[in-house]
Amino acid sequence: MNEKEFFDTLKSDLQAIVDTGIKYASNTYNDFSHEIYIINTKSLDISINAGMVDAKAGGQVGVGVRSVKDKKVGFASASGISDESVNFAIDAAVNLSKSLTEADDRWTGFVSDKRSGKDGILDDKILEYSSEEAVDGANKVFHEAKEFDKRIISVSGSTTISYGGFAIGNTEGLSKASRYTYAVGTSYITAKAGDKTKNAFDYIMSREVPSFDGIGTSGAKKAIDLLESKPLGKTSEMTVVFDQLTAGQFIQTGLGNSINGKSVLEGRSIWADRMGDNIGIKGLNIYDNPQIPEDPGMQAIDAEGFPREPIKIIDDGVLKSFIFDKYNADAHGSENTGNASRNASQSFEAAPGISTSTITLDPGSKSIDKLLEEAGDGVYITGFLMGISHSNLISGDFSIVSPSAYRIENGELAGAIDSITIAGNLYKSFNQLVNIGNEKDLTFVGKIPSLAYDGFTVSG
Amino acid sequence: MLDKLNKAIKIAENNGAKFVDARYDNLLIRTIVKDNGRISNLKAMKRAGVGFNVFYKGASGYAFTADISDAALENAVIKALGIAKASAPAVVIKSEYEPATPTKSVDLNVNFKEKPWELDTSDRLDILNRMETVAKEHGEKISSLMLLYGELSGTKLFTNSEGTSISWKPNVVDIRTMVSSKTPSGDLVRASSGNGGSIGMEFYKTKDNTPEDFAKNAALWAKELIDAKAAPAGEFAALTENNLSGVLAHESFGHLTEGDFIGQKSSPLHDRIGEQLGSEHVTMIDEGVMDTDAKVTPFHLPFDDEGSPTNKVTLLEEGVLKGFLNSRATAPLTDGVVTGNARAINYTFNPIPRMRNTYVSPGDLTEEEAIEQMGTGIYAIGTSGGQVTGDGTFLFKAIRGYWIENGEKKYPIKDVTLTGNILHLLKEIGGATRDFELKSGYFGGCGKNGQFPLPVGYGGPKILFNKIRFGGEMQ
Repeated sequence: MNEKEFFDTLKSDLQAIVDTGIKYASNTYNDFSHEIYIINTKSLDISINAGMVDAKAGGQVGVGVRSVKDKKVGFASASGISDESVNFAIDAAVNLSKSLTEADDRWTGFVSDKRSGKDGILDDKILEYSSEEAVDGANKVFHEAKEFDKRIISVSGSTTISYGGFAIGNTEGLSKASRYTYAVGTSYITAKAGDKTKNAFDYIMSREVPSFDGIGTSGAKKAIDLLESKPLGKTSEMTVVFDQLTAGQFIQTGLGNSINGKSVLEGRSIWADRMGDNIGIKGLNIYDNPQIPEDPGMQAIDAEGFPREPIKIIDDGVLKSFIFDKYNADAHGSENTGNASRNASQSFEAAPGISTSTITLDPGSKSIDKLLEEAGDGVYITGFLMGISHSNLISGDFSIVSPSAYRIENGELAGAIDSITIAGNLYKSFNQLVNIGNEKDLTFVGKIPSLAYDGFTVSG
Repeated sequence: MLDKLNKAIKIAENNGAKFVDARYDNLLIRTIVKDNGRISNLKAMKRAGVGFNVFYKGASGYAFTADISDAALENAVIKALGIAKASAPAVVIKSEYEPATPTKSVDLNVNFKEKPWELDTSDRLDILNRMETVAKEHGEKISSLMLLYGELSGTKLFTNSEGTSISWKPNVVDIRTMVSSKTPSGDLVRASSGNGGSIGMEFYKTKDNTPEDFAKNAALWAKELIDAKAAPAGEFAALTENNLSGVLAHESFGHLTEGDFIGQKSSPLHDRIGEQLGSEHVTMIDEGVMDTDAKVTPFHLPFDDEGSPTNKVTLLEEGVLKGFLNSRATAPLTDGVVTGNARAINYTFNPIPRMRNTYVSPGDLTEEEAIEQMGTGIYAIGTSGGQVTGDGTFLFKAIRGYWIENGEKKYPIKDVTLTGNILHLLKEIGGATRDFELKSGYFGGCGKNGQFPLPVGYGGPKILFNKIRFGGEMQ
């Protein structure tokens, strides 16, 4: 079977395995209800690190099963999607359920909604992409960066090509599947001058075969620029301008816990009782949008088979919706928003939880240059926000380190600065926004433009 | 199974492969999470499959499969060879192994009295219920109570075209209590306690190590934090508690010694072997096999995933950089020493240099002497994790601590951030205590290149720092 045939019949093949599993489960344990999740993906990763080549081929192939009786839920998974693997997971999930003495009174059953969202762009060229082409792509990234400047001492260039799909069925009669194709290229660069070492990266991601040209050069340029860094030399409140990637990390962290239906239900979200309140500035519009066709993360259904659809989270600064899977939506008395996920990679080893899909923030009208100009004096932040994931998600207090920051002086970029610390509060920050950029690109951290904030303490 | 693997290896060799190794994992992982009185996760995960690493003209290809039929194994090994061949023209630095003496070791069994994997699910649930009762008894204003049980067991097989043949049984168990209490201002403070390692369940019946002990600790520590103050921001002298010392050693320094980063020159340590990087008070070790006692519960790793026995590696000796953590692939690019640090979390990953049990050696101070020597500063305890960049810039979050003034504990402080650059920090080490602790476990293992959580051990003494930058949190 060639790859095109594999992919063309993938949905029906996976659904057939799910259906067979459901029959076995229903016949063997007819007093239980069951849900079977099957994933089958293929990936090729080529990575060229300092001239050494690592190549890896394989994919995520496995099954996850939830079996329930009398509101007692067991979950088991197994690698592989043979009958043996599927039946192992069913037997194990049933046994776990049987071992429970206490029922979960919040349990209301599996998803039965028959609708589906759409799959994103599917590109047959991904299926035909050869190992040689993937090696060429990574090699190009590597050489572009390596030859950019003598101060570049280490380069990693990589390409990943991936395609596959997943299927879900349950004893409510649900049987659905979703497919994807995507490609990613990355450059990671280390530059050194004297005893100063700086790192930078760039990337491209697409559901179609992209050109990997330019990401080596752009990553290298960033690393070289950072070598000129000087100390900021003060601690004070100043305007902080996040570029698209850092703005994405910042907004995602601000919403990750606060709008999560489980946190809301458990009283761990600061916004649990704020529905309909003003929590951000006028003109701030934020969605969770799992239906952007060019988004590698786009899926027709969520991790328990509910249709994926865009949800408006913040409308003109007003909190409009939390995000839910079925369990937490029912327990909270809210609508399911189709945000069930099995970790970021839809792993067959994870039982469904809740996560955002792709956060989008409506762009403003000003360019990044205009944002810098209006900032006057402040700092411009790029790269990774170190420590953002260790923020206090209950109170919202954050203290992060930016190793890739620039000084803004008289409305213009005035050179790189050594690592700085930025502190503030994630939840107050929605009212501390002073400018929204006009970028509309999708990044790996959402579809979020550059953002400028006042009121954070910057120290370095 | 070994015969099936060897048959596939032969197929690749007959098709031009220079070297092939094959790894079979058959692991069972069990986790239970009880969250605010509900079992939110009762889970069993079977991970079984085969990975082949194939070398061809200085390039390596890795392919894996969960299907262990002969046809699927042949398909995978040929795929690995195919991508190695496709990669060969791009090779600038060859990845090749120096020949090694074959190892033959079969059926290394552990001798625990009570094997965790033989428990009934009801026994595991009972442990969580016991912790729940005790935590509620001792806690105050508890807003969230999370109880965790994690266990990994199974078999690993390894064989290669040199004739190495290994079979062993990895295992780890982990039990934890996490308590959040609500402060008068509505904020939440967290504390956790627990222990794990390659240990039998009899360990959890020893003094200070019962599930009840963990629950009581976590509840009381969270209670103490209800009235704790925010730590002041700025540079202070500091004492890091054993667990935090270990995580600092692992995260901020250990990773920089990994052979892939050294070989690629992306670590600032790549050209500094033999240099005095830290004060004479710091000696740092990484090893796979250690003795277990009441305070030391390592992850037992006799062989790495390239079939090499695990050696004890001294990374820093009295502040001098002595060694790196290598796989067979990275050794020729660094100091040439194969240390047995090639690890993969499961068959879907090729092995890369990772730590095993990493620790700072104890010093000669008592805790009282260390606090007195510190004078005024922060005693930082526990950690919820941290981040490090390739240049050694780090950020860690300590869960709790005490403000110390003139050698006396003044008041408890809330979670606080420690930041800086490890290469500067090592020079600020002023001493270490003589008490030594080391832990490992299933939860909160190490993450690298998408492989998480890999069981590792980390520990050390309490370490005295002349100064660390703290804080920036809102007061």
